[in-house]
Amino acid sequence: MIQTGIVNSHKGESIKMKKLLLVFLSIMMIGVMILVSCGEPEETTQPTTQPTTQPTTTAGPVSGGILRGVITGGPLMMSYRGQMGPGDHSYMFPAVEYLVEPYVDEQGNRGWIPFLCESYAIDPVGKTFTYNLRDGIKFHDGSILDAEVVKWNIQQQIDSGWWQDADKVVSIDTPDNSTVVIHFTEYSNQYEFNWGWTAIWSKAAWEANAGADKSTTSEQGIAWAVDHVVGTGPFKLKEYKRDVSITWEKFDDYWQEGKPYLDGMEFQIITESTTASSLLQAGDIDMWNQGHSAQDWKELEEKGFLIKGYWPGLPMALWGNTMDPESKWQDIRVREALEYALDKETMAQALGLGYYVASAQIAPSTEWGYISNLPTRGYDPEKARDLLAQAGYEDGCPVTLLVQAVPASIDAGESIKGYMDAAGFNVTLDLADTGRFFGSVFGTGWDDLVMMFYGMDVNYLATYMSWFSSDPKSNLASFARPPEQVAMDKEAVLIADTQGQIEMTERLCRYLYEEARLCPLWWVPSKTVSYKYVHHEILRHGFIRVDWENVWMDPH
Amino acid sequence: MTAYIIRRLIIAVVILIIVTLIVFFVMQLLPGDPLVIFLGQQAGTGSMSQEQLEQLYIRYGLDKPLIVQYWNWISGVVKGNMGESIYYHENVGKLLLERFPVTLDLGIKSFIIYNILGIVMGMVAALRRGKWLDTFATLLSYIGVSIPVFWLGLLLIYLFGLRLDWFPIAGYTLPTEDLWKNLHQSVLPVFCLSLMGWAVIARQTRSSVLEVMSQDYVRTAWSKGLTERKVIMRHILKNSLIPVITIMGIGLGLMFGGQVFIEQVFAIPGVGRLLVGSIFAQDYQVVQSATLVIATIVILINLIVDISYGWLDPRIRYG
Amino acid sequence: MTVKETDTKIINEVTPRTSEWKRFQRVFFQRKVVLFGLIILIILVLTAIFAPLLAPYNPFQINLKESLQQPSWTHLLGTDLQGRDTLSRLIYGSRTALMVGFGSVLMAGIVGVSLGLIAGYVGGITNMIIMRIMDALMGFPMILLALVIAAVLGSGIHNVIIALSVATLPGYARVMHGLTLTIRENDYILAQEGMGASGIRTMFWHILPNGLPPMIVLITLQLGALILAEAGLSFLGVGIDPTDAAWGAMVADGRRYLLTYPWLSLAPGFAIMLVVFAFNLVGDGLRDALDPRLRGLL
Repeated sequence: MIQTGIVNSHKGESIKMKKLLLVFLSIMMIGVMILVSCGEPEETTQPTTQPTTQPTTTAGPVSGGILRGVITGGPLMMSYRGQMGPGDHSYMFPAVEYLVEPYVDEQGNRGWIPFLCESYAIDPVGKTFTYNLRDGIKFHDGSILDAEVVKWNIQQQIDSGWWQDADKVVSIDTPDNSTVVIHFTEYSNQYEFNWGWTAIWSKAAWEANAGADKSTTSEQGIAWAVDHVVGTGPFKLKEYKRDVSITWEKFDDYWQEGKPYLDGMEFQIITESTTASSLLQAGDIDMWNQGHSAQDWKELEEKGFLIKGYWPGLPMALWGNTMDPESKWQDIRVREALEYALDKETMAQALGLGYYVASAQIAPSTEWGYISNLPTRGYDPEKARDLLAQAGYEDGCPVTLLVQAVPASIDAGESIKGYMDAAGFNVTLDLADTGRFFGSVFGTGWDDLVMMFYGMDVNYLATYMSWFSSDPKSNLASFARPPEQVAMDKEAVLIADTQGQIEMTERLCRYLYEEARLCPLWWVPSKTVSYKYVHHEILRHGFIRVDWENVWMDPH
Repeated sequence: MTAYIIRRLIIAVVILIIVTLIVFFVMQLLPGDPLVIFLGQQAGTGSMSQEQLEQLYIRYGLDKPLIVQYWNWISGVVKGNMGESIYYHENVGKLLLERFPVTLDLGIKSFIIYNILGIVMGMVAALRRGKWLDTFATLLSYIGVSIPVFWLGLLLIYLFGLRLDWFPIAGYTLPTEDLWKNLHQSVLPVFCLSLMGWAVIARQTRSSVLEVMSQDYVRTAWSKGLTERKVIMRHILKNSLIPVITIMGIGLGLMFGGQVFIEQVFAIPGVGRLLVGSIFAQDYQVVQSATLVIATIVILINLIVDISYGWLDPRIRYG
Repeated sequence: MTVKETDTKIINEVTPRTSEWKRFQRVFFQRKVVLFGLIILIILVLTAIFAPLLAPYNPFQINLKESLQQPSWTHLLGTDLQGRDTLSRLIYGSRTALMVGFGSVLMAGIVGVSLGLIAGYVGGITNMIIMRIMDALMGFPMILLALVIAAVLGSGIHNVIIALSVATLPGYARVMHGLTLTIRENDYILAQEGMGASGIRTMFWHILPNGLPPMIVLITLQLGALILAEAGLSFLGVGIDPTDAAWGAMVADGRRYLLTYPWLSLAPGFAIMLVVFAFNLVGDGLRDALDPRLRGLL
């Protein structure tokens, strides 16, 4: 530091330079050391980040407490079904219940149960759906659930214009105050899903806010429904701050005695998974509901958090464009080559860190439609090359793979590209932001190949009908349904007995697999991440029911 | 002077009109269709008929020729109606009113902080040229411009939010609701946002002060035996700040850009997050109007900077 | 914003210089810290050229059996989820960094400088139209403009280069415009015109070379910003194809492993910092050596 004014400025500069470099390098080193040391598992952690390790399983549910969670988005429409998607419905589950809901028992058997109705009956011969409603169910606004309200809801479902089978409804009768009967032109075994799983909202609340036009599709009513919901569910909407948080409070007049256990729920909306993970580890939230991936499960499980896994999950698959007559995917040899090119087991293991399950066929082993003796196409890159050569692609088959630009999909896309390239394809990844991705998948179609999930519903016939059939709920725009498939679909919905449905589901899944209509990859199980003091089974029923009323927390 | 300001204002309006043209037509270039994207994210258009899709087109005015759509938007904006968001089912003006206070709150805090810290640090570095302080300041200013801001945010969350538990990890509270909480939550995001501006201002101040210090009148002031404080305050500070003011505006653009990342990382419901989401949802109305507002702010601030620059420095002619 | 009034004040003493190589050398190499930056950049370029020789593994080869390994003697910086060697990807990433940097600078520079030159030289209505459009583009934060363009074009390195070029173009145009206005007032240029030299000839043979030194400074400083912007686009999901090795994409992707495999984002993060740091050092050095008066403008 011996510097004397201007004379020494030259020397000063050079000393300064050395210091500058020294400081720069040392700051880098310190930064590295801090982070690396933080990355290692620590034994001296703060008490707040240490999850309770002893769950008190013996004691029954405890009432009270506010559950703090993190979700990745919020509803765009709260209670007008004509503009609601699956995402909107799932965000509204705390407040809204359905006439018929899915259930799963201790053995893992799944099916439908009457929920807001005492019982229901579907008559294949008389072509009717009869609901016998429960007594004494109140909406959040104090109004009563009766036959008139249910009829209004079903009517809105029809009026809103894009409900499946709406054109098959002849009439809706209310013979008495607790009975509703829908008459159809023809029977379908999908009516429980299409007409039983019907969200019920307060008619009184709608009409009070719909302005002069009291119809079920009133413009003013729709505008009100964007951020209002009045249902029968265990929680009332307290506050919704778009892109910030959604807050629920306990509904005191809830029809199930003694429930819900929680006093309320607060969900923050956070998209960045690193941020959400930090919130959980800091003890700022009790549960991380959405937006985590296999890496998070592994890391947090090792740190003692509760990672609860449920069947079902989201099955991932590769879908060729079979709609365009010029597409290479019209050639079954190319479709089969794709199956042989992929080492699904290794990919599922590496990408899913042991959580994903590789899928050789369309349905998982526990479901209808799984065929135990089906010859599957195992990993065989040589065979893939041969098939491609036979199809006229000796010098490589160029493929553009459309992938949603979210981390888990990008990871999968990179691996798939690696394997496909090694087996004679020549893949270009096209990473699409969410808008372009779903716009292509559901709207304008994709040009070549897309990686996209399909659903997992109450049973695999329902899944097939929703995703693969010629009359789907979720229509993948470039996925063709050939005439022979359309014929089978028509036959399938008419089967009323369970055994017949199971056999038909197998036939349909076998058809899809043998024709290699799509290439199933692996199942991503549905998981929740929370502290161990949170007791819940919220994803047990799949994605169309979340039983928030049964969630409770140990005092912590 | 007045004539000059009026002329500049007219030019600013012309620029804004060009901004609207650019943003409107670039949004039209986006592949895909906002309604299809909206419906696609919602359900899949399985049972949605073509007629219903068409009804929605008419409802949002997307069936009209582009020129008409442009005119409708512009005339709406002039009347204070920015249209309706397809994605959010919400009036765009209302959406922006929700978001801009948040972005402006963080923006103003960062603006103040990076200017004060930058100027102070730049001054100190120049006055203690070659000393440790200078080295440290220079280094910090280099780091400030060379670290990806989202990454910095995540590192800070990890270190100060999770490890040390000094600051909240994420979230935002309006200062009108809870000032203390607001300040506490702002520390990390504002630090990230101001780092780059801080660096730019500090570097500018340092070189500007050094230049002023070598001027004859400052040497004269020293030789007259004035105290250090007097020389600095009376001669150096005022004269060296003039060029610094010109680049204050540049920092503004950097900051709006930084908010795009910071709001995502810290889960702050500001315009940056709204814009990114809307670009991907191709929610024309929102992107158009929000960028227009941002551009207006940037252009206005730069205008003020230019005018005050001329006002501070009498050597500038108003041509 | 019109630049005329303010910017020309700083530049108006820029005089056409023909040979000041000696002075340049003296000032440029006087500050050793600049030399340090230069060395880093030379290393960067050499790494990019000799990447295949330096990299211990193929950076694109997926090997899921070796997924997510901690640093060891076989993999000095560990491997990523796809089992690719991080060090090799880091080395190849220098190519991407240079490609994105120089690609965008070249495109934006050529177009921007030409526009600024034409606007400044021709003047009148041409000037008005070009410069107002540039001002309008400057009204958008650069990253937003790049984001919209990248969303229009889709992901991939070429599209990222185009997006960043458009976003940075007005900066070049604006500075070149200011320079042109001052340079053309110079006696030397006026003399050329008086002797009947054509407009195009004057612009590209006489004005452009005199405007180049400040442009080189601007470009050097801009290169660092471009590398950062590329990382930002990757974070937002519209960046470079992740199978390519790009530092920005590596940081963005590696952030998910910050606690478990910190090297995955720390290594490319420090590479970015070091290189951007070096570009800034060299840029500042060049500016001081070429013309210290440019401080504050660039």
